Amino acid sequence: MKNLKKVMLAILSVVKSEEAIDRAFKLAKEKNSKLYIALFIKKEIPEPLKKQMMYSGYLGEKMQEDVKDTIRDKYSNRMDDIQNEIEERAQKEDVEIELEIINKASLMKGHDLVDKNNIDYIVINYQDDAYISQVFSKYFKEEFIGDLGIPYELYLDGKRNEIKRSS
Amino acid sequence: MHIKDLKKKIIVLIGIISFFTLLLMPNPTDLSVEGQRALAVFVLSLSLWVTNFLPLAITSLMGIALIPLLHIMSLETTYATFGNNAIFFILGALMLAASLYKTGLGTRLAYKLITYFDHEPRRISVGILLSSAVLSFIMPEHAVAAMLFPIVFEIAETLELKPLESNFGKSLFLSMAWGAVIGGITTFLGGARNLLAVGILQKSYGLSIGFFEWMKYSLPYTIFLLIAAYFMITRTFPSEIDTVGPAFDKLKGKIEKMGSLSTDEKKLIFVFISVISSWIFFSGQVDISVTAILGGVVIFVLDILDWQDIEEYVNWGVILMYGGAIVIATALTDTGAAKWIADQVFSVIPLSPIVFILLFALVTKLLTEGVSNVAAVAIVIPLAFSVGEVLGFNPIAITLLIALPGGLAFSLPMGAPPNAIAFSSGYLDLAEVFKLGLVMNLISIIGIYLVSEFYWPLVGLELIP
Repeated sequence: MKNLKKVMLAILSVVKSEEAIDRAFKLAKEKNSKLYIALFIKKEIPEPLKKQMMYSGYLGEKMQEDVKDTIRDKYSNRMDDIQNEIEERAQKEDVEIELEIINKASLMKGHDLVDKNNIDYIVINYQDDAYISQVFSKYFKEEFIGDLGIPYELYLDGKRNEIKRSS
Repeated sequence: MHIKDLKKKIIVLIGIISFFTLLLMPNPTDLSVEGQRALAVFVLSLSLWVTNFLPLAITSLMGIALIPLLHIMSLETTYATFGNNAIFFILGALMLAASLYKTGLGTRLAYKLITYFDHEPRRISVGILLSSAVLSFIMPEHAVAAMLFPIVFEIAETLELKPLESNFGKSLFLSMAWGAVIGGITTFLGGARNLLAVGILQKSYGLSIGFFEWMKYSLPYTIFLLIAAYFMITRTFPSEIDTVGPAFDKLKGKIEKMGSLSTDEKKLIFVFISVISSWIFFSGQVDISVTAILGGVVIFVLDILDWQDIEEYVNWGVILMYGGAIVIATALTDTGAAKWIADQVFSVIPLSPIVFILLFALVTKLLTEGVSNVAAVAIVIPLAFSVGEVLGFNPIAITLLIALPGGLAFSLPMGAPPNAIAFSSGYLDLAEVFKLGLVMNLISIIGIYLVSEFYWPLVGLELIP
């Protein structure tokens, strides 16, 4: 693998991300590169759950809101934990990081992020379960990963799923 | 376009084509014109229910409009069928459930039940399984899951259980979901589909099942399933931790913080005891729907809820969904369409009682894993009645044989809202739960056979009278 100036770690799953984080730090240290972290936080709950509560569960609006609030709170706590873990680790291992929290309003195509931040390698941690995923599969596959133009490694809940080494 | 969306559209398209084909094709000699049209409406509604292409309530409304429009039943009969006592019972029951949720009495009961057991992880799992089940005896199962969800999450977070990794985390959320699903079959309050089935029974045969009678038939099955669920969950996901002390203390702290019973909670306990006593002891004298509505009224008289609360806590779509499902199912039975299908399909297949039980329980269970359990019951029950009639089976037993397994979705998140809520925690692995759910489904089919064959006759309910 050639020298890397900036490695990006894109976290789109709040469930499990340790291995992807490990890999991104390892790469950054090996290649002496900067680490750009994109934490994707979506304030909405997964669409299938929302539909099911509304149309099948017949939960009243307040009950639905309570479930949504719980999920939003817990997902947000998990993302905070991930952020803290990354920041502590960066300090401990002396890796230069740049961290950005990307919410729904500013969801962008993967290659836009790559261009904007001069990224040359990406480690993506993703969750494909429609009942947990905060970023819809459709968006992820078509918009984010569709035409990255650089090599990437895809992790599903922290486990490596796919490697695309060449652009 | 997603493959899933495409599949949905294809199913709906097949439904629309079948609807027009059935309307326009020559009338079979042994089926009335009304029956043929009822079949057309049923097939169209089926495609929409199964795919959720339209909200379930809107599909039901469509059925209600098409039935008089196509002269399947008169306008008066259609609307009168919609306004049956099952619907009014559901209306009152939802108001009672809303008050349990709003006053915090439901949450207090949940905390008490969970902390009744001690610090040992297995016992907390039992506590969640049982509290979820018991609360689903008195309020809708999905409301119970919604209420327990933050409590279970709090336990998991306090114990720092890792999503997708922690066996104990899996055990907690699955206990919550399966407890609610199993408890929901026990009374008319847990799952209104039970009453939907009784509503169709009443419309079709003029027979009914009382509140207490239903519990008499369902409770042993519920207990059997809860024991099976406990062993399945705790054996598959043995706890990796030895104590739940910190979480237990936190829950105890929450109970202390809640203080003693509020005035509204005390008033609500009085209303619940009165209403449930009336359902159990006086359902012969006062119809359960009347008591349910009176209970709803008393909640307002005692100033426990106001109308704003009802609007926030009750989703009125359920009334349209259930009313419409009863209308469509009644049209199918009253016009002879259900019997005609049964004759065509089952006349060549000799069905013994055991095959009948296993076949219909299996079909209902398969449907309920993928579609709303209300839709599953509304689809299967008219057919089961017709087949059962040919074979001389007791319609009350048939109602139970369809409605009880019809509420039991164990495998998939789309099968029941409690499952979807549990999956959204991120602790459960779909593949793992799917496999475990399949085994649980098998156990539940064996269970319904055992209960119907050996227990029901002991309490006076024979499959063939």
